[in-house]
Amino acid sequence: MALVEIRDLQMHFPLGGIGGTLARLRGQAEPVLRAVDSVSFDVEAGETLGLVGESGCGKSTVARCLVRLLKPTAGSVRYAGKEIATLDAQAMRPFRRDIQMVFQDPTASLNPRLSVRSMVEEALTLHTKFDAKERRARVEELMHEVGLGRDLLDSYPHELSGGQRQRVNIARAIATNPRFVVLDEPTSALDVSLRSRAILLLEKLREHLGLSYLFISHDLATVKYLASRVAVMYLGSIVELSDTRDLFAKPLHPYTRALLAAVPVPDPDARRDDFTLAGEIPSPIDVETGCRLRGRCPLAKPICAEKPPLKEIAPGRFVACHLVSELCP
Amino acid sequence: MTEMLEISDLTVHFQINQGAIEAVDHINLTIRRGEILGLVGESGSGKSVTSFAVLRLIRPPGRVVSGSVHFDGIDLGSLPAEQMRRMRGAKIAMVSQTPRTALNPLLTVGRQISRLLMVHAGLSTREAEKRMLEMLRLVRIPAPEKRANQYPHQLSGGMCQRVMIAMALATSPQLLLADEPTTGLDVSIAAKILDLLRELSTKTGAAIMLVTHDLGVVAEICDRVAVMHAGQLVECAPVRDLFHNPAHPYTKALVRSIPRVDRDVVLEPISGSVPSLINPPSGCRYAGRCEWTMDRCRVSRPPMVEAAPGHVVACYGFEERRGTC
Repeated sequence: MALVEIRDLQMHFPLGGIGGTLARLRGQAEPVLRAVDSVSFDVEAGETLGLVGESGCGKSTVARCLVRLLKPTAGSVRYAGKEIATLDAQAMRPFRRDIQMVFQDPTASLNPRLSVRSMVEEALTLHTKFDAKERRARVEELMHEVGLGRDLLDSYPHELSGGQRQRVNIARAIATNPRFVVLDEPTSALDVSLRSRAILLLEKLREHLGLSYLFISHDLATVKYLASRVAVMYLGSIVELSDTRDLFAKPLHPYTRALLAAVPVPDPDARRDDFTLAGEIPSPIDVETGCRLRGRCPLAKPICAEKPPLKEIAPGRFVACHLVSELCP
Repeated sequence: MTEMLEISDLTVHFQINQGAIEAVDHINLTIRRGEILGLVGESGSGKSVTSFAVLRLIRPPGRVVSGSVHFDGIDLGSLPAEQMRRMRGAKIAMVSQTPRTALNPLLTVGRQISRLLMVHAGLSTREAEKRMLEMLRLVRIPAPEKRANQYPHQLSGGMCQRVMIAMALATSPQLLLADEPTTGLDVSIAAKILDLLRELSTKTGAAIMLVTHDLGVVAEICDRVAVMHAGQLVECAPVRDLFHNPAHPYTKALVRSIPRVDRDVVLEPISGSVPSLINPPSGCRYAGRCEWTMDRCRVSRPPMVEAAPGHVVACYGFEERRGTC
């Protein structure tokens, strides 16, 4: 059994407004933004699953459903075999110490009026039975774990650099000894040199504490470094899910291929794959039936008007494309 | 003369209570016509300040302490303010890092571009309108007629960035200062913007200074690269030379510190951090982080020497090793 199992996760946001009211009055279905549509994947204990895709593809919405900041409209989220998709806030509480999240913006996710010590300690006060002395010791241990000096404990967020702030966020997330941490673009706001240090820190913590990560990013190079498997999302659905090495060596889905081809490579002599898609990502409101990439894909055929299932074409390699047999003879 | 931009001995300080921040320290740089020069380095290395200094947009407490900037043979520092104002936007354009805040939220994007054309190119309303739509088409904004009537908040980040570029290119500038034009954008949009910049320089012969910390972007479109560290220029080389034979230890460290999609690497973060620029160490400012540091690195600043034709580097350690490897 995988640590986290997601099946047919769906998150639709009603658009409301005058369009919604009119539709209701006419007895029609209310227009919705289909942020996530039938997404399924597992996160095994101890692994890092990368989730990539462009802005608006639904990666962060998946993350928010997993940590139950959102209640999915349909589908199941099982953590260690227990269904958590439908739990109310009270019933969700015991799971909170096991499932944590680090957000993209290290500054906005810290409380500017609390010191580092109180922010990290808060997690312990809420979720453990530690007394004041034990909490104090644990906070110091956590600071050491994420590579921050004890002298920073009484600092406030504005006194810290971007890299230090993100370390405080990480310390807070691992304070309760979680087993599963969702990392939503944790390195995007960091400068080059800080980014590589944050990547190494995350990797060290995973090994050291036996964590599992869902690592969300649009930085494919970082995902390649950290993740053992990668899921690629486009317009609310997973189009390809594979072992990291295979995915980067030979992307199969046309979207994955175009995405990888667009990444600038730090080698002036690198040969480029000039595979590109036409146009822009369409709106997730009036989604095309059939394959969602159909309108932009240079390989599209009439069969693409039918929705392609996410099929396992080799052990552990899933692709949602009708043409995959032609792409991979 | 083929130099479009010539920066000589530029030094910029910001005076604050604790002292002077020495943000840019004696920089020499040239960009030729039709050339794309990448300016790379960590945050706080002085890349953006350098481009602001070219536009003469350093405001108090900032001050250009020494040096000159020549654009197409004209000394920009000696121009009267009014002439300099006409230079900006018409001959020298800038694409900033934050497109949404650089655009006026109260004007439709079409209006912003056509206004610029009326002011700087002297076009009539109708001509400006026509050219504005051409520009939006050039940067591949879908449905330009509709988008032109929208406000910045109605466009996505990538679209705002393309509007900024359309605006910068509208007057066919001879020099474009692009400050992190693709940072924060999705890869597919970023790739389109880079193609657009490349096209501009080949088609119109414009010189481009591309400020970035993304070495992938540099390898993709730059002809030459200048590496800055803590306000100082440490190395400048043709792009192939820089990636294949980096001479300065900072450049080497920078290349080793990034994860990459094209091969498996062992990440090695750059040790230490950028030194404080208030009373920075005399001598080489990288000395505190460098594995090659010798006594004299801390005492005097290494001069720029030629490592290969067109490839200059400021490092005593490199000079020591040059014979041996």
